[in-house]
Amino acid sequence: MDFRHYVFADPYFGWLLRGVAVTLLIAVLTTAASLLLGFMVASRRLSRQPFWRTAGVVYVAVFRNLPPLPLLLFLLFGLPQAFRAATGMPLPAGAEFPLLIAGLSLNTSAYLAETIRSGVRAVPTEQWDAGRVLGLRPRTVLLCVIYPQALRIALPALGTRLIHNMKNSSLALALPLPVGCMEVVGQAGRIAGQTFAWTEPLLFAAAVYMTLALSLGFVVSRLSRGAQRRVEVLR
Amino acid sequence: MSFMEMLHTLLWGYPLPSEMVDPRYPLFLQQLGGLWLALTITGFSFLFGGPLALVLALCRYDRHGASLVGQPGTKLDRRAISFLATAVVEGFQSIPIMILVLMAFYLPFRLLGLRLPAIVMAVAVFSIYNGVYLSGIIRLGLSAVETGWLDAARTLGLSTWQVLWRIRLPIAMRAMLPAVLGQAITVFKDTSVLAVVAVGELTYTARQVQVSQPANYGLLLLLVLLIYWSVAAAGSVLVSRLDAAWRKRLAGQ
Repeated sequence: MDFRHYVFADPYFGWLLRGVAVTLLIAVLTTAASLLLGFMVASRRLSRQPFWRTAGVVYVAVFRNLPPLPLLLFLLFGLPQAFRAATGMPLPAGAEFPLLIAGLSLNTSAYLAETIRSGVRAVPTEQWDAGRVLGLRPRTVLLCVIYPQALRIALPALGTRLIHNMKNSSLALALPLPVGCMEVVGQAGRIAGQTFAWTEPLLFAAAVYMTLALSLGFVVSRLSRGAQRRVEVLR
Repeated sequence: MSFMEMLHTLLWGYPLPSEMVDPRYPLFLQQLGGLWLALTITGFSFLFGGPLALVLALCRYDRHGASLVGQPGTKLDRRAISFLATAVVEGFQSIPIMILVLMAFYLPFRLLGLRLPAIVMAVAVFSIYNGVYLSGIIRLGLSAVETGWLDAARTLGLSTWQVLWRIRLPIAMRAMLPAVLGQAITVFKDTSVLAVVAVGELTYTARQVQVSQPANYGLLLLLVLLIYWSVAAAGSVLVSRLDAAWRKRLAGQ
């Protein structure tokens, strides 16, 4: 084990730090995108119109059953090929990172939609009636009465999935990203490519993910304990 | 390469060159590839990961003061064991499967000088991965069993282990089945990560075919996604059926 030469040495440590920053960036962007998408799909699944309901069901059924890595490979290798076949032009440069964010969000949002929907299901139906009696429109009831309660109920499951989503950013290792857009495992692989030492940078990357996942898990469990209390007060 | 040939290759993989076969390990395992290898690794991860999960769950299980391993105050103190098991579970759960796979393929040789065939490493890492997650499911299942039944069993004179094996586990097993199947689907989908360490499962096979068929890579990957999806979707349907049946039985009681 020689962390001094392969991790805490001049260019390598900078690469790894940049990798950590990119990991965090991927996590934040995909969390925001998949929460947004998840809420949109969950609303569709709760819609009264059969068309939208079916569309929501299909979205969840499609993306929940696709493994994220082959999905990302398809987005980054298959899609440019199809694009070139259709338009005769290559995909614009710099499209890899947005495609990575899109792929991860598609996967996570399908799970989130399902979790949010079961959270909504767990809110007592009287809450709907109470909101309607107060003269609120169905949409307003859903957004301002039901979702806040559903979120509290679903918080532990949502948190688990979002931590999983953060860990999924390591899949970017297998993708052809520009050097600056590589997350921490990718940078570890870059060091291994130069020094033939996988062990030390890999252990560093593992420690980074461990720290992130454990501290996020702690935050989620704290938050959900508070939320649980408020849910019990409501009942 | 025709479409049918591509599909056949994705299902069965490429045969391993004979100089790479290690005679000390089962031949059929080393020659499997494609979808069947992904399914086989999933199966083995339950075969080896299941007992690991049970042990971890029993070590951690500490509600109602009814831990089953160790006596307080002795060398095998149940709280120390529970703490250790929790650390193992939480530690492994916090590392992404991608890093676990890379560690399994690079660390044993570097640290211990151990050189094992790729398939053995793959089965080992997925057994641990699966065992760690399964233990959480088993633990929840065990604690969901109504204590009244256990008290009844104890009153009849059954020992602690008899209550566990004959009453608690069978009841918990039925409640756990949908979650365990869901875990199987997750593991099956996660085997795709093995492509980065050149284990010839479905995703890696697509990459191998791509070498001779670069123009068809998009189609190949679409086919791969379709195969993964069909297996996982079939599993999901089974899970929701089981879930509904289980709820119905619970409501009937």
